[in-house]
Amino acid sequence: MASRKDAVKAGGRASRAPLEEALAPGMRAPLYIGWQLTNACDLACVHCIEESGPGRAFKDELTREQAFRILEQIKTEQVPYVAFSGGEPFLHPHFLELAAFLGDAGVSLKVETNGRHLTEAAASALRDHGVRAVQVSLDGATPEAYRKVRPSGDHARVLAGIRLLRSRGVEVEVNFVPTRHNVHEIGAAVDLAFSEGVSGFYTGRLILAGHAAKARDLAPTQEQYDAFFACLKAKAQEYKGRMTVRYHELGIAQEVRYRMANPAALFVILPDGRVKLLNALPFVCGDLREQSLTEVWKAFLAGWKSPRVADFVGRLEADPGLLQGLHRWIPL
Amino acid sequence: MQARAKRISGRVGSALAEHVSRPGKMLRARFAVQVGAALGVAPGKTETVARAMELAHNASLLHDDCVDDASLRRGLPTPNSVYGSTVALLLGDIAFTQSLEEALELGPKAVERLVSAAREMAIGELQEEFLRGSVDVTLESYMGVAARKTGALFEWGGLTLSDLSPLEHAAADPARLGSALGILLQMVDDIHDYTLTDAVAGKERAKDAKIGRVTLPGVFALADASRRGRFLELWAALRRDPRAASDLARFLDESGSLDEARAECRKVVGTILELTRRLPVRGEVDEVAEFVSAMAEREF
Amino acid sequence: MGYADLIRRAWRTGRFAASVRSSGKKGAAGVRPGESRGSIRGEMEEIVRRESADALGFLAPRGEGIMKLAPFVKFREEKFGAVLFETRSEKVFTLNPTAADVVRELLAGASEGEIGERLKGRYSDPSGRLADEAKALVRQLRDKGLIAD
Repeated sequence: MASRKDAVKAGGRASRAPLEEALAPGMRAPLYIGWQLTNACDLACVHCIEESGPGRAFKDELTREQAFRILEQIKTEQVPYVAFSGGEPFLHPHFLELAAFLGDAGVSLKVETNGRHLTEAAASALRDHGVRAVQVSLDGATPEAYRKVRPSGDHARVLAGIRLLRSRGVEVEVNFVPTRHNVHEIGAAVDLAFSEGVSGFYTGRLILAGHAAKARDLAPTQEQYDAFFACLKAKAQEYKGRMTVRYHELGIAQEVRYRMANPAALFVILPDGRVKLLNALPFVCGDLREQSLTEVWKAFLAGWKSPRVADFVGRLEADPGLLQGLHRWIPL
Repeated sequence: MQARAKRISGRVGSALAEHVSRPGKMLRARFAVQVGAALGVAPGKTETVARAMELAHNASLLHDDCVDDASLRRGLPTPNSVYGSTVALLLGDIAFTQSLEEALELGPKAVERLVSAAREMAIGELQEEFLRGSVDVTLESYMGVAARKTGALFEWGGLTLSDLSPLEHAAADPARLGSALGILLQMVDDIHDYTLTDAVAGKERAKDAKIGRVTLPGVFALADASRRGRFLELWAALRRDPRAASDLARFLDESGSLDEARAECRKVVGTILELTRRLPVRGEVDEVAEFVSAMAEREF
Repeated sequence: MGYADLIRRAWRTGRFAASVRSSGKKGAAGVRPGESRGSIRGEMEEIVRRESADALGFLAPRGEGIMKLAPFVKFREEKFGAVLFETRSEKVFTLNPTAADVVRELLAGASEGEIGERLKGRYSDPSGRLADEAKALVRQLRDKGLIAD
């Protein structure tokens, strides 16, 4: 063996998603694809960075055939892990069919949902398709705080959905976006998640893009953030080994700069088949309606080296307002 | 064993040296001697394997008794109760190094494996310690811990005897036979914990449950939807009041959980006997089988 | 930090703590004993679950007990060797060509002891340590929870 030390090399620091350090040069395809199936959603959350909502589906979202062409490539190129999100993936007309395909292909699938569609039938179907985990957005320990960020949301219904998943042995994760309305409930929300049998709790800072950028006084204050992260630190220790509590303390500008230095083997497919470098960047590196997965992957790798990306990231720290233009995509 | 004790008695005195190699039920030595014979291993070598196993086991008992603050072992006062735990821990260390010295006589491979076995035993103990209070215990995880805690040393004996055997014996898989026997020992002990009266077992009843350890009968109660709820109730009651232990023991008996545990033991016995029958020295097979059955039928 | 660095730093600064964590005031502060014990229990439950296959060694004959990738771990061939991707923690491990071969042999049902033998024909092994290094790799993979028996 050339060198035993080199034989197994861990992806990186445990405190952040080690994926980020994972981009070995010459990797044939991404290891992880985040796929926004549709931009439609049946909630209109004040903090949505995707500007999703009722009637907000793109006019040119992928057809069933186009989606399956991408799935076939995911299978042949052995992409091990896919996350379906949106919008709300359950509102995609072929969502379960797409999930079933990935299950059969042995691809791990995570579903990121607002948790409103977790009926008995849906929970059973997700279990049958071997879904790796369902990540439910539950940013509140009480219905009151929850409804402030998700105006027509139903806290009890989401909890009922989580229980249905757990009763079928489906792994559940919780995602929590902090705003001024719910940030104080973080400790209780982590406890609630644990008591519901959730295996991972994920959170970070509010990203001021999409709807969140337009709302006034939405972002937590510095003091609130300090308390928020202190609490998370304690909770991470408390639940160590029993439930993952992972949080990103970096602001988005630093996060993006870090990503630029350490691109992840992860890309984002938009509902219309275009591919973004990163959710929090406006750059589009390809279009899966016209290009193959491996072509887009190559463009993705090149894209991270583009001076335009570097320029944008450099300006972002001084001018966070740039994120407001996140949805005016810039082709590379 | 005697010779070895003598050799250290000149260093630590005969009273202490005796504790290092004091024989108990000698299940491990019997295992080594009988399986060694059935594998056609030279008696001298078999003796060495037996001594190494007993010494390693003794080391773990010396340490265990400190941990448990036990005052009696095999009917005699424990060294920790007489001299204090510092002495007992050191005696345990001596017992283990002597075990390694025995293994050294069998070659470097035997030592290497004994080191691994000792590590697995310690890891098994640690796992058991930290699983106290957990009701997230399945048959597989229970067996896994037992395989490390008690199985590893028997597995070492089997592996080592296998290496020493001049006869073809792959079908009997002595390492597996040993591991299974070690696990069986644990299973039987755990059933006894609920069934034997205080006088016979020499310790209080349902002690495992009192210290929060879910064992084989509990595993079956937890795995069954109709029993799980009641078991958890009794389990919680026991946390508040140790006297609830007898209710728990009765429930495990009446609900059939103990019977299921016994049936599981019989399954393991079946596996072991199947392997035993494939041992190459036919004349010795019956005696091994008898030993296995005796271990399994210790009063349950 | 290796010992050489540790010693140098300790003698220079007069601080004789083994790591940054244990030298600072932070350390275990704020963690009550019961709490850390509880968190170890959670970890232990998971470890024991992962290792539960140990006991099945006696139910399935040795040799037939094929090692396989742990649940949630994916293996993909690459030009530079291969990657192992742990989808649960989202950790990525890159393997050089030899290490990739070891994993391939494992997945094909080779026992830990057989791997060295199987690889010998494929690599020059002047130091004669190929088999040992393969074993060490398997141990590493097992320690990281990437393979299960």
